[in-house]
Amino acid sequence: MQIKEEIRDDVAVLYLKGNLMGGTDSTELHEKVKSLIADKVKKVVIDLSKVKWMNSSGLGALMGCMTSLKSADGELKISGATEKIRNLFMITKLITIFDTYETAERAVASFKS
Amino acid sequence: MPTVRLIVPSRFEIVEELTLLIERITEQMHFDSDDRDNIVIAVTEAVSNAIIHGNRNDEEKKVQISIVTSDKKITIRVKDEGEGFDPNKLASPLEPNNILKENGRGIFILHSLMDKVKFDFSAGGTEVIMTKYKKPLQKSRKSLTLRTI
Repeated sequence: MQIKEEIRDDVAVLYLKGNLMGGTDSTELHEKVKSLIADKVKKVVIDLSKVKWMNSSGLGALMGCMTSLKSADGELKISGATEKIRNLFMITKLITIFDTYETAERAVASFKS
Repeated sequence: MPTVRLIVPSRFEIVEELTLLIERITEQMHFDSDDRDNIVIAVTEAVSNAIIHGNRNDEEKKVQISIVTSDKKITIRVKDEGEGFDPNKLASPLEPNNILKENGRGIFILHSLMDKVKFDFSAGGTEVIMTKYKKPLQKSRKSLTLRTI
């Protein structure tokens, strides 16, 4: 999986590409978010529009990122989840936990409203 | 019935490769796209569980996978070399105390995405046996050909 980082004002957008199914991918994502927190960037958007497959390990990685951000008084928003990923959010009821947006732009804008 | 058997090391690269194989098989079986996605995710889930929880990421330990297909269904078996577990003792990941946890959703997702899920611990290790049935309107190429004739 590839992670492309973009900083817009005080918001970091992490564009993921590939699969989020455990192993080093999940660890890498969580480490990336922890390094943002260490750099005092606490508003993060994770964009999933180019993630093809995700399973419970990927969900766990997102939960880990959210928990780390919350502990640091930060916030995680998720954008671009495809239908099959949204289906996983629905099944696991994480749709009620994650703050989701259609696009990264909308997720970034929501931090300002 | 057509059967594919694989014995693979406990490495995560295998999970990626399996997605391609399962996508191809379920496409050839003419499952609809939602069911194809569900089957692929379920297989990645079962194999990830076998690698992490069963074989404890020990690359020397193997994961056995068998895929049996017919006109009506696909059955996938995933077996690890672990010590097994009690499926009845798994906590629901939907409970308020568990919903924020990072782990504990794998088996729940398997049950949600597949039509039948069973566990067999009789031969040592854990074997997950999961089945997805084709919906009545999903005709296989073979049955379509027969109708045309």
